[in-house]
Amino acid sequence: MEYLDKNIYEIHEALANKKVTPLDLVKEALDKIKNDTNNAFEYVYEKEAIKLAEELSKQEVEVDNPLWGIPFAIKDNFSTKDIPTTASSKLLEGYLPPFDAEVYTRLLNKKAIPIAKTTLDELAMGGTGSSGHLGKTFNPWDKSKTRMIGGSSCGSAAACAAGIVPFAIGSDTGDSVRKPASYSALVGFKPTWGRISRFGLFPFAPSLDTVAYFTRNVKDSALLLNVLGGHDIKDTTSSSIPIEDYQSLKDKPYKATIIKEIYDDLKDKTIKDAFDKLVSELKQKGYKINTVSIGFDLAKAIYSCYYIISSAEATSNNANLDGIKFGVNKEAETYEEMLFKVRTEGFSDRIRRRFVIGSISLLEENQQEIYLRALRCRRVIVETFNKILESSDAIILPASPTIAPLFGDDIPKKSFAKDAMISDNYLAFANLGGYPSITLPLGFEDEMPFGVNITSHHFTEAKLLKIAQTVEQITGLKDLSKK
Amino acid sequence: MKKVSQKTLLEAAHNLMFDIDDIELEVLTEEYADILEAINHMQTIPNIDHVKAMVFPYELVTDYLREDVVDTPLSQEEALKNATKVEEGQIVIPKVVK
Repeated sequence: MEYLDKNIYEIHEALANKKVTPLDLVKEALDKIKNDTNNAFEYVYEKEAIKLAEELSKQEVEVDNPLWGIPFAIKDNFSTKDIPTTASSKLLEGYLPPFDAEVYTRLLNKKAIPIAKTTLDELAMGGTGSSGHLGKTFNPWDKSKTRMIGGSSCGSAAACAAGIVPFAIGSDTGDSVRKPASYSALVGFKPTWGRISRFGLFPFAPSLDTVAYFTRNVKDSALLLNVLGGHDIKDTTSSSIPIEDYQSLKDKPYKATIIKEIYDDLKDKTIKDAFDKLVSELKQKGYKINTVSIGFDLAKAIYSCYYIISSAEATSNNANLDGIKFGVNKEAETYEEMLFKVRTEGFSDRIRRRFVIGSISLLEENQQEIYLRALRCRRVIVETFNKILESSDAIILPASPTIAPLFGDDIPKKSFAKDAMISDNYLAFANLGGYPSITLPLGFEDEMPFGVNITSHHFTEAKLLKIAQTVEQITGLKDLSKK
Repeated sequence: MKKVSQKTLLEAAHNLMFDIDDIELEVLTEEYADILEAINHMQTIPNIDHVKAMVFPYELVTDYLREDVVDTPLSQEEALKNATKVEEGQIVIPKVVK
């Protein structure tokens, strides 16, 4: 009997009814990891998880704590005390953090069991799930191993989609949880920027970085927000706004908005038809759904605005990676030569180029025309979406214009300035604005999943999750995984 | 928007304390051209140069100060355990003044 392909509440019920023990669950997870071929894991807690599960298996199940004894995975850009943490960078191989990330601490306090650190695009900068030091992570839904699962939270998505864990923690700076969720039939949830503490998350672009996670249904996502959300004095950007009971809101017909330019950019008929059908069924439930135009130029600017801001922030945030205090060191005659060796060999060429672009945009002579223009553009984008969300409960759109792309489809890299790719890159608007945003399954094409994304105003997660639950009821697509 | 020379791109890489080879420099030049086009595109957004830059996604008020509690978050041993070369409680790097 397998349990880990079920949702959190189902596994909890099995634990409470003594059909399974935490030790059984850990053994099942370790066995699945051993046989997994998706290249999802950086570090597996073999001894640690067994020890913790043995201790828990001697105790009474905490019937009011659904996370008790539940195995989970966490992206390898979260600090985990004395557990190797690399952010999938060669430069950080062997690094043992001296403290735990806040989200990890909260899960340990709930007696959830960490089973693995998951791989990612190098330093969380990428969307293909193929640029980390372990190489490509495969999509469990694609047995030919030719399609990506997306990134950067590729390992967490693959672990959850393959039925190895019922939930997995990731991070979302541009769409790094919500896009992989679309490609793997998962719920991928990024709450409001500031809702969950980022203490212990390796910073990529702090004005955009958000703790996010994968589950198999919306109810589990709501549960996790009640555990992970809330103020943390260790993170000055963490909000003092009280958390709500994210599972108690009553359903009602809400108002949702489709963005014309993003919808019009969709070319895949199956995805468009599935989305139209969903909209029609929401209307039948009393939802009011309108279409709003933001202008082609502004829609096209979302991704370039995101790219410039995130590159600039990444450049300065990764300046501390020098191999001296931590990370891989190199023999050299001089201090400068040592830094050059460490950083040239430690970063991939893709990351180095991105750092150069970030650095150039911050140079005094370019700042007005590049970095600050992107920040001004950010305000125009955010004020436009704020206005929409002041008169509508949510923005709803397909989460991706295609099923999971084939590896190599991103090479040669399409120019984001010349090829608009609006519907492929728009999800970053929720990071520019810090909005809560959730992706959940919408349908299948060629046996590969695709998702729908819903975004709402700041700190309206309870409403957003309720709308997502209504969508989930309509599609009937939940609790999915692929062996 | 003026173009940036390959010399400037290379200098930026060196200021970031890493090297890029000739092939990477060619790719970077193309990528930078892409950025310039994106920047020029942003210029088409009405009134863009008269808008206040937005650093954070919303107005963030941090109106508390934590208690000033004496603490030792990291012991010396913990602080040094990830350094490759340590002698007498200090991290060893190549001599700067020889």
